[in-house]
Amino acid sequence: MLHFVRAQAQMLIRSPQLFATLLVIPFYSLVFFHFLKSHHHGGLATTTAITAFLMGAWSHAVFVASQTVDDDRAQGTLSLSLLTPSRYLLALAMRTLLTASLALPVLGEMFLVGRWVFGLPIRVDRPGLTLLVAALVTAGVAATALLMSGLMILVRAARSLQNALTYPFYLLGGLILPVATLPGPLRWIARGFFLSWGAQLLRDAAAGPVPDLGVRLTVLCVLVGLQAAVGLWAVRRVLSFVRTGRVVLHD
Amino acid sequence: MAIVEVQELGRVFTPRRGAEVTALDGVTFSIGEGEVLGLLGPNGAGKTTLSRILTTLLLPTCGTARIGGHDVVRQSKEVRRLIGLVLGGDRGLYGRLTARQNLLYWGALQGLGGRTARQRTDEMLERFGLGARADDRVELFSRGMVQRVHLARALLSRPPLLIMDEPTNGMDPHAGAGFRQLVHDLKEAGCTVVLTTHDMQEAQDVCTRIALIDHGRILHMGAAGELLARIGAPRTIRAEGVCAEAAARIAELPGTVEVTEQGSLTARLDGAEAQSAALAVLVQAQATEIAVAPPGLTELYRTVITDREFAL
Ligand SMILES: Nc1ncnc2c1ncn2[C@@H]1O[C@H](COP(=O)(O)OP(=O)(O)O)[C@@H](O)[C@H]1O
Ligand SMILES: [Mg+2]
Repeated sequence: MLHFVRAQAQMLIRSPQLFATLLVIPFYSLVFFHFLKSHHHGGLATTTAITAFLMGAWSHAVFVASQTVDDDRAQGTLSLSLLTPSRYLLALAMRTLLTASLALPVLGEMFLVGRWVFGLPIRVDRPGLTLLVAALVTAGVAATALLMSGLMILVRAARSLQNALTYPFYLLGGLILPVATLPGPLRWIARGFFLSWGAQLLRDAAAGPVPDLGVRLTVLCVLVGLQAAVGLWAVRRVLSFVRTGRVVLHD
Repeated sequence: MAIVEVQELGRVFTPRRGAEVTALDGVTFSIGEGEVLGLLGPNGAGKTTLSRILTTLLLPTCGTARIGGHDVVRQSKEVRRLIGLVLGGDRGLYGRLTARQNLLYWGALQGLGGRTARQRTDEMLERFGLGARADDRVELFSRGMVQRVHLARALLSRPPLLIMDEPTNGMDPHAGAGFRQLVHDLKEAGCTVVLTTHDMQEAQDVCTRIALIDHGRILHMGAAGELLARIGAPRTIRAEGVCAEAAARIAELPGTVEVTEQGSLTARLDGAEAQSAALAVLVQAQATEIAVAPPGLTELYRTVITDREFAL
């Protein structure tokens, strides 16, 4: 397993454009924090930092981490990988997870910029829990990226869907409005979406004592696990569907 | 014993738009252990389709294929353990990784343990003369070197059956000679090889048997000598300094004749009578460098496979 992570790390190091998220989000944060500071809304700084991190992690997964399989197709390594489908699936999972986790440091960057550059009152009451939840959310977005990468093999047009896969999910994740204010059916979908649980836990972990922590962490773990199961299942199905010859792998 | 057994194997592609394509039209053959089978045929003949089915990458639409007794559709897992695959061209490796990193990654995919993978990687890098460039990125490699990495990768798991689809496309003559030596060594070591190539000399040098494929069917199959005896391809007559008048007289004989402006003539004439007549004309016209070559695979191929790409 480590082999696959190492190989992906070696590839990532040689493709610096993939690190864009790490640079772009803190850059935007300058704008957000400046805004908060000049309007005397410093109290919102922590939530802003968390929201920016989650949006960054999600878009990084949708636009970058989801490319793993498509990259393999473009390089012609996908065909050959199909000779060892189960280990290839494992390799994809590890590689996608590593790429997705490149967004993890953004959370720290946001906190640091807010506090040290703007002097905003950012505080994290439970740093350990914050890190744990951030890691779980990263696993969830990696699983989403895996699902997407499978779809991109089946439907070439999926690439153009990428843009549509950001804003609605920010809404469902409670990143734009509180989940409780969403209309009925949307609210229910949001309740089954790992991102909304992760976002609320991150906000609470920063604020202070977290009510119902055990239950909420369990729910988050289950939802992330389900997301991972769906992602792995989808890619496995796609890889075996490829054998029918109805998707062209070599262009 | 046959390591590959193929029965009435067929593949029809049904595109979303347009007509169905029969890429493979019910082929039956078997390959014994240690054989080197050459697949020869024009583009679109179905060679890649056959290779992909044998390596489990593509499902057939009819018939069966067994590798080492395992069915390629139902027992793909067992089949995959027995095969190595080399696809031609520059693609199929991670350009951003070094040769060594590529091999280690593939070793891990093959399920080789860390130490075995490292050992075999070193061994393969050495064997393919890549030692000095082992830690350079593959995207910086020349085509010939990329092909060597491909071969190294395919042999990492020491498969008893190696399937290669145009592995020598664009190799320089030295690399080509090295490749022939490799196939020879593999054969000596008991490995079975299926080799698709457009290089007739290469096929004649390394293959124990040849299959001529066109329109998804095997037209002829056998050892090169056997096929040449059976099909009666014409001898090739070559000469230099052939005057226009002599060339015109030879062109009237049955067969194909090509003459350049400089007066080099290449003639493949039907029947011993026409050949003697042409030789007499050439001697009389005082042509130089007159040579008669026995038919080889090129002549055989040109006799069996009708030209349709572009008629010269
Ligand atoms: N995935 C595919 N979908 C539709 N047609 C295909 C596909 N793959 C190959 N073909 C068609 O099948 C025929 C045989 O192709 P191929 O096996 O690649 O030939 P070769 O390798 O001998 O050049 C060709 O007519 C080709 O266009
Ligand atoms: Mg081909």
